[in-house]
Amino acid sequence: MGMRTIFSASRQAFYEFLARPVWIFEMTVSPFVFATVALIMFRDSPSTNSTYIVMAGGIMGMWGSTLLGAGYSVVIERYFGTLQYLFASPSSLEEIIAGKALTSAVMGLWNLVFVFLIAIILFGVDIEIAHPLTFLLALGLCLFSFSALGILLSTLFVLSRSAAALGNILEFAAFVVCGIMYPISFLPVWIRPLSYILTPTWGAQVLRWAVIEPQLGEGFWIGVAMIGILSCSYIVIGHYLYSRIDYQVRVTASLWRF
Amino acid sequence: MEYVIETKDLAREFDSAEGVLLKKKRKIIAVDHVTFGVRKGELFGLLGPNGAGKTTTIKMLTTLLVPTEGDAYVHGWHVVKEAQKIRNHINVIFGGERGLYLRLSGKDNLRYFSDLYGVPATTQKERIPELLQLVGLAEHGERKVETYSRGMKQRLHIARGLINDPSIIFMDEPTIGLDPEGARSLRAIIQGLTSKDKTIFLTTHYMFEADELCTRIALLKEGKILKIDTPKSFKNEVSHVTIIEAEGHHIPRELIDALEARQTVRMVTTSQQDMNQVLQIQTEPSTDVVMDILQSLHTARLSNIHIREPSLEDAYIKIMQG
Ligand SMILES: Nc1ncnc2c1ncn2[C@@H]1O[C@H](COP(=O)(O)OP(=O)(O)OP(=O)(O)O)[C@@H](O)[C@H]1O
Ligand SMILES: [Mg+2]
Repeated sequence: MGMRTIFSASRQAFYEFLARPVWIFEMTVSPFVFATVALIMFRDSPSTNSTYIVMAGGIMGMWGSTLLGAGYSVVIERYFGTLQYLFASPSSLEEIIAGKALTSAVMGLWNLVFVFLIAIILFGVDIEIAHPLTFLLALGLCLFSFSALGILLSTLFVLSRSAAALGNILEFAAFVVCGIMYPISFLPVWIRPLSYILTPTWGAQVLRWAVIEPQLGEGFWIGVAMIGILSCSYIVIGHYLYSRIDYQVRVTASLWRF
Repeated sequence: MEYVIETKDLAREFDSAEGVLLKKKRKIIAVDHVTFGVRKGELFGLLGPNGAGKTTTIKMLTTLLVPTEGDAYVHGWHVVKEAQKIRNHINVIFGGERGLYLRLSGKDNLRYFSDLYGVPATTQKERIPELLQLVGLAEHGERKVETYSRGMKQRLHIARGLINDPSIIFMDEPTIGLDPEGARSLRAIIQGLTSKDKTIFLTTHYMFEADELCTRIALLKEGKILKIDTPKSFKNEVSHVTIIEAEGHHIPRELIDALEARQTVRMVTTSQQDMNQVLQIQTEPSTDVVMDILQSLHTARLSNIHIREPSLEDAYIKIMQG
């Protein structure tokens, strides 16, 4: 099992995605909206770099897609009654979710690319990236850490059917809490610890350095280190939680209610 | 002989919260210390009214629920401590059409599940068409499941349940909601599986189905097993009676009282069927007695009078009420 389960689940998620009648719509209109909203909101603010704004819109789409793939898919599988059959199989639920997270992260990347294309073609934004190669590496790091966070959050969706309501909140809360659109310094102090343990916060910071700053400074490296440390923690905690969940859902029978 | 499924005092409780704000916790005993064994190659039926604990029993045996008390073993492996080993060798089908990826084809559904069961790609290539053939979907494998009829979906579930070539298959009401013909073809498929050396553990609400398929039957009521035996022995419980049935618009109370007053009559029941009332009398199988009763039914102008031998259903009702 292991890699094979991850691969099949990720292929399955891709097939399911393509089988959705609205997939073309999702892959074009939704990034379009993100790009438009981002550009219009910040059009008149002279201090902000337009490439960064476009990228922030892309990151929003990427985060939404990953969360949807890893977390919300559990809700959908529960609804269609497939979750119990996944659980009955010898494959681990964690690996299945990891596969789904992988697919949606890649879809999320497409989201980001599309936001850039829309910004360039329709809005005539000049894209200037200070450190292109670093930018790509940072993007890869973000993808990895979003997936890890998605897997961790998916445990909530497995354990509780009320978590379904949480999905939307999580999707948009991240934009605020993680300082993707506004700097964290705008937030009340008591929320900031939450910002610091979520990797989208550091992802946004690292990407900002790669896009804007002429010289990569300390802040960049702190961001990279934080993403590494936090992502690994997500994976370790997620793995631990899944090992508990396997037993816990069989005790509480929560898998059976919806 | 060795048991492939064995339970010892198996029990499961559920907490149920009542009320919205002030939640009162109440314990529901779904399965109440049941002990039984199923032998290799058997087609074992679990019967009982709604809420008797059939599905809960299946979930515990298929490692999906942890028992609150007692133990259960499948192939000698413990359902909690060795769940992972068990999962490779069994499969489960919950009745109804849910649990499939509707937007994917039947073939894609089977392919995904065979991946999850670790079936090698080369085996899949042969097995998937074979299974589609077996359940009569060979021509529809490429179609999206959402275009399937209910019966087709339930047959696809059977194919899914066989994808890992399990030695034991658990089926919870596999024919639920199917038309008579669909149910019959599914029964034929299930029957065919036993000739392939598979053990089948089945629940159903259809008595004739259990009678036709099962080698042994366990009767469950409120979580407890009332009786385990062959369908034949079940019917022997009621073999010393003959059943007379008749229909009428308004069956007079006096007639029922008079019938019940007879020494030779065991049981009189009435039930509503469409516009008519149906009267059922269980009586001693002596010709004189039967003729006598028929006469009085005739006098009361009841129609559709007929006499039959007791069925598994009659035994079921007798034991349930007894
Ligand atoms: N997840 C659950 N939470 C709380 N109670 C439950 C749960 N699952 C089952 N029960 C209760 O346990 C009892 C047995 O249910 P079960 O589903 O095993 O019955 P069943 O014999 O399969 O019935 P049916 O013929 O209607 O399918 C019922 O009283 C039911 O309400
Ligand atoms: Mg049931």
